Amino acid sequence: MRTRWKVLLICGLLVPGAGLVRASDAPIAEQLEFFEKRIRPLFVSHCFECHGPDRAKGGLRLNTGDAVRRGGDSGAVIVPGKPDESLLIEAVGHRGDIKMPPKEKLSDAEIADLKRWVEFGAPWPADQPEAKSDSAPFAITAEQRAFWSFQPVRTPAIPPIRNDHWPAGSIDQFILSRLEAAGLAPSPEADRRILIRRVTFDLTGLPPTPEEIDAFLADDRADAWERLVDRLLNSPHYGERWARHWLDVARYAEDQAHTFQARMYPNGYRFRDWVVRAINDDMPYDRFVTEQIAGDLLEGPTETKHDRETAVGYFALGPVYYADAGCAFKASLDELDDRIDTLARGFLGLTLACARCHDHKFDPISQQDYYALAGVFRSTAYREAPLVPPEVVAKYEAGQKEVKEHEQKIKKYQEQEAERLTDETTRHVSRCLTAVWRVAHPPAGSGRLNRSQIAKEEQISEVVLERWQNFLVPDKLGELPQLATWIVDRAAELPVAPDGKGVPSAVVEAALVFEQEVLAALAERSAKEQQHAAAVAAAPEAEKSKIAKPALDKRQADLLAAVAGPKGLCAVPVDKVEGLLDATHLVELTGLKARHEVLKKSVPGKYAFAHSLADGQAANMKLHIRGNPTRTGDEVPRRFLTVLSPESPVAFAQGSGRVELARAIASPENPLTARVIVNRLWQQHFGRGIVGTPSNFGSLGERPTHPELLDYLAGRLVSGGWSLRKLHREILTSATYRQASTDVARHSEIDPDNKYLWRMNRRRLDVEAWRDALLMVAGNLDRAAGGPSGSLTSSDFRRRTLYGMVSRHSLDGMLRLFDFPDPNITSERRTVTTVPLQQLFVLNSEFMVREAKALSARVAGASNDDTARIYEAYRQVFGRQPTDAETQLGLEFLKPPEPDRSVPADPSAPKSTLSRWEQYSQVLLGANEFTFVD
Amino acid sequence: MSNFFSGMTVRSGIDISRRDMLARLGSGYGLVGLAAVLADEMASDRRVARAAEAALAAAPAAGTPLSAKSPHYEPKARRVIHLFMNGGPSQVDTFDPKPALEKYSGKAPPADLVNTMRRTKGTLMPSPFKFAKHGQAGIEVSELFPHLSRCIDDICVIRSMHTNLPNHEPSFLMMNSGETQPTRPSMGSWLTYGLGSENQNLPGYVVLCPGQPTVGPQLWSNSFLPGIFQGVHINNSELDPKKVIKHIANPHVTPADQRRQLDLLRKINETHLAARTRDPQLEARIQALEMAFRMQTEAQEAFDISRESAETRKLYGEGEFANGCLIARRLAERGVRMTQVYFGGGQPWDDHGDIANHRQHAKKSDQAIAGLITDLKSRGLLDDTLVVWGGEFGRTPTAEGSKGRDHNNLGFSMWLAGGGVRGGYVHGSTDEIGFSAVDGKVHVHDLHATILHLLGIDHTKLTYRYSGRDFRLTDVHGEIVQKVLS
Repeated sequence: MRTRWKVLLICGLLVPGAGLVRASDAPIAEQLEFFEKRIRPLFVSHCFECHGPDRAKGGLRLNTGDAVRRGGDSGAVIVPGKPDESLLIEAVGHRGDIKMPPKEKLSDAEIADLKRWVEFGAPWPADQPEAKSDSAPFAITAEQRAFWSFQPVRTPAIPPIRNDHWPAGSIDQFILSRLEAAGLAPSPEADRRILIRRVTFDLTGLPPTPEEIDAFLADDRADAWERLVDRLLNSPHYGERWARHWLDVARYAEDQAHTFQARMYPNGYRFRDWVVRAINDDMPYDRFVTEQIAGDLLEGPTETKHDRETAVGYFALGPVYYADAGCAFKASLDELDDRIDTLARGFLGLTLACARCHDHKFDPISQQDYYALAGVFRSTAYREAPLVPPEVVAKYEAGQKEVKEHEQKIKKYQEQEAERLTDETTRHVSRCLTAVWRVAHPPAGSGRLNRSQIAKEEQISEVVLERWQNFLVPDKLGELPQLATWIVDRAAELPVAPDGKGVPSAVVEAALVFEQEVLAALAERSAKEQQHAAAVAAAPEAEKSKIAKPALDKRQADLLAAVAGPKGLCAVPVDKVEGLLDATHLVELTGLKARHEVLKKSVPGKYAFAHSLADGQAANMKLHIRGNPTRTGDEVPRRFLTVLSPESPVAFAQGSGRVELARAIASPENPLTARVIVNRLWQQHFGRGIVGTPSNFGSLGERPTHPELLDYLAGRLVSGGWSLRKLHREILTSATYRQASTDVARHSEIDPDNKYLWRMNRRRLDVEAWRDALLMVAGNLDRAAGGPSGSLTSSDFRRRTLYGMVSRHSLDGMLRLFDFPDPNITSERRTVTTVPLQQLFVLNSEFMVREAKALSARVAGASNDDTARIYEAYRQVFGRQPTDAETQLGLEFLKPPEPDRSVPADPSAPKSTLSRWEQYSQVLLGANEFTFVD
Repeated sequence: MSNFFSGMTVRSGIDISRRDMLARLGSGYGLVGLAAVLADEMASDRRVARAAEAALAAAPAAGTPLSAKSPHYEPKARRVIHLFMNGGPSQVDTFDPKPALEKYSGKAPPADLVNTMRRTKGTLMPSPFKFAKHGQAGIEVSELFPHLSRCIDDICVIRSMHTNLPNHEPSFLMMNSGETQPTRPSMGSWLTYGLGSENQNLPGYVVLCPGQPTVGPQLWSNSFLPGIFQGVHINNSELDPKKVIKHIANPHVTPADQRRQLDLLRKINETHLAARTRDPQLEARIQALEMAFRMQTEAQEAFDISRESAETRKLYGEGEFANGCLIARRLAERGVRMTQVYFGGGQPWDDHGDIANHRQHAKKSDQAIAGLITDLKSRGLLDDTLVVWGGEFGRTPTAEGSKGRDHNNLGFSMWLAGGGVRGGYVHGSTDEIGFSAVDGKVHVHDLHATILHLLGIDHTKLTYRYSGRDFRLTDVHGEIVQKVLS
């Protein structure tokens, strides 16, 4: 257990260039790497308390190479290359007088590491700056403070440009100035047909209809483009499209990755719908942030209270890890880690996870910062917030209570009957013995009775009979002297009793003798109890408790312990009483059970609720030294990150501190919040952010390609009242956005990644837009908005992909195949892969076949003529007319004969059940032109 | 640029070589196919570009400028077959004989040997199975595995495994991804990320399980690695090759009609491409469609065990697991990088109630596994195929109830066989009663490091930048177990 915690995450060591060595270097480099990975952390966590920068017990420090070589009061502690002669090794082995560390011996592996290091000659990287240690006080350097993303957002000057015809606004000037500086030029404006397809997918995730395309092409007003953008920004589909982008960040899902006792989120969709609504209502982004962090705690109009409670689903729908004995505590800490990670990367573009174990190696984030935030979430509880009036909840609770009480009633009745039946069985214990005999000795020739029949005839429970069967074996009989003479076998020699059951008289007699023993013991016990009660009654008050219970003799006590009572051989289990009840009792019990069924159906069902949060017990956390929860350091007040606080951070005072945290993040003074969201918007519009790592604005993230533009946009967002819609509009009406996506060889050579945006990026539709577009052009799309999620695999589910169930445990196959991010972790962007398995879906899936059939039927309705139908198909699928050559290709393909669709003689022989037109439709839906947006 | 690939022949400018590569692919079907597809991803995405280079680096297409050796060093094994005994087989009833249990039968275990987080605390229970020495090496194996015992000289038993927790879900995740929470890529994903696949007509990472094991798809998740590296789960309770891989065949059109569709689609796509000059992503999708068409035939064939001779079928025996092992061999032959064969759905080896049930599980798997090893060997495949056997943890030497055994993470047995492994060898040991590993302890991280090493990968250098950090399968842990190497 102990060693596991030691070095959970050493972020820095794995970073290329940051480590001391590379693979190709000399062996010494590997040794130094070994030192950094194994030895220095070991010194820091086990030795520095007494032998570090702050203390030098026994004159020894272990924090620099010189100090180690110098040794301590006892002389040299290391003889390089000779572990056996090194005092350090002797001390950690607890072999000599000096035993180090004194309280807890290092693990064998750690000692072996130390030996190995001494064998290497105890190398210590002298020329390296002192690595930050746990005990070194955390300080933010001026250089770190000056890092670009921690600087306040500036209002940049609009840069000068040469080609002043091109820009349509300030954004274009920023873009153009970089292009010109790089010797590049912008691309011409794209064709209008391309533009409407691009912007419609971009804002709504759906293709434009042919009618919308025609209307736009015919609109010759000067502001036709602006009008189009406004129309789309006001479409309800805008919120659906852009909510999905945010849900990637929020790692939105409706269940857990594990299966045992997993907390499910059946109402998770309410958060998804809240995001859609917030975006469609153009909720100011600062509000959007604040509500997701602390909505449940915010004051506001009563009628929107439930919305605010739903908004914190950003955290409330987070993963809850498997927590059984032994791992519950770690799981709860891992959950905190998820909350902090999703908070910091989502809203701030900062990675804090490594500060769980040590100060961030690259960014000015201390371990204290981490535990300050962890304390906030530790003081926050998951809560299912009712979205109905309290009366409804009260009725539900009352109903549940009634059901529970009734269940108790049934249980009590069964217990009482079990006790009665146990007593009865005990008093007629000979039946059990006889029954065992009968099971073992079925009468010759007659039909064999099974155990349950015999149990029934003898009026005992089958469970009891089974118990006796297992007991009446030679091994066990010795446990009860009363059964010493019990007849186990010899059936053939014994005359049969006249009871018609084929049991020998001797057996019947032996059973009755045993029964008498039991009855006698019972009577004796009851007499003793009465005697005791009488003595107690007669005694003076003070003496009553001193009167001892008279004990049964051991022989009888053992007998009753084995046979009688709720743990004895004759005990009838509570759940088996039903089979033994007489008619009167049975009617009573059945009545109770029937009433239970009626009751369950008549009480009100579960009310609507949101997966929400509430403040729990507010408490600070103690720092976990090297991430080890069993080694705690100082308590850290709940507060905001140091580097983002104007002076030294102030401890949160209200409850968990979530409201204060939310305000600190959603502040216009916060240099990251606005930059991070405008960059996310930019990324979705252009395929690449101004910062290429949208959830990491730290020093390991990429630097902005256009820092001034980023600040310009961030400033515009804040000055525009945090309206995302206004920002979209400004971006979309730029000339930059309207450029053609065509390649220009000369520009490609200078800037192959198109970082400077000399053209628009051509992009493949993501899985949601692609599936929705397929449904739409085939005429199958159900545009119903909101509500519970459906199964994407169901052939009846034709709603937008946004409304499909998102599972952490078993993500839908189509989503999985087409690069949907793993919802167990926050995602900053989609990876785009192109693999044959995806194309198998295009060629063979039932989904594609169904949409192809629907498209074919839709087009068939338009005309009887193939040429006209091809025209219609192109219009629907590609939003344009086919060329003559394309029409010819189509006609060629559709040329008779139709595939033979009759049932072949050999049913296993392959046959085509799709008509030529259906096959043709599938081809069009599978085309690159449909799948990519120029 | 990742440090993993420094020193490779492929430079970061994959744009330059792409056209070359596609030209070489031509209509002939090159092994660099995957690399080509990957390389054609948005060039600005460094992560995918890196992945592409991973695949390029491993593509053994000798003679092309893209041929590259394994990135770190010559591998001993080229592929992995992981036989996952889900539920947790008991070490003291399989590969770790403990005569002391006879002596202490019914007694409480010595307090200093027991340190479990589990609630059940029974008394010591000897194995109901007899152990005997086998092979030239004289390794003791229980009577559960009569067939496998005959292969023992090819097997390296590790008796000193340990893992973090005695609970199924975290331990499944640990064995698959090196982390107890569902937040990391699986080993198969790491391997395909690092080495690509040798056959572009098949997925690089295949998971065979009738139904699903406990935890489910997260066990073969790519997590933050690109989606291409996720495992493809095949429910091998279904044996019709047309049904084993999703969408592998179109029941609505004949192959001839589908070829006709593809010809039209290619023409339409080429017209579209011509109007747009150069665009690697469009080219990549055109190629991928053609690959998919060919994949239908090859993948169906790969999963079609009815093509095996009666003799071979007999070697493996019958049942879902046996079929899984046979498919695994067919996939190994075809260059699939990693195949996991789960013993069954859920966690069948989880014998809390009666350890004697191990007999049933062994009966279903013993012959099949021995058959797999024998078959791989006779085809010369065992030399460069690494076979891994084991569960997510072991079981207690103490009894749960009267006849069962509870979970135990502190000590358990696994074994390796094949490429680069020291056969006929026992590594490490547990304490006197088989509770905790004491000698030559091997944590799951160490096992991962060793497996990667055998495949030619330095586990400390196979990294992926995500969330501001370079991640590894072994996180900051992992020591190669040198002694199990041949």
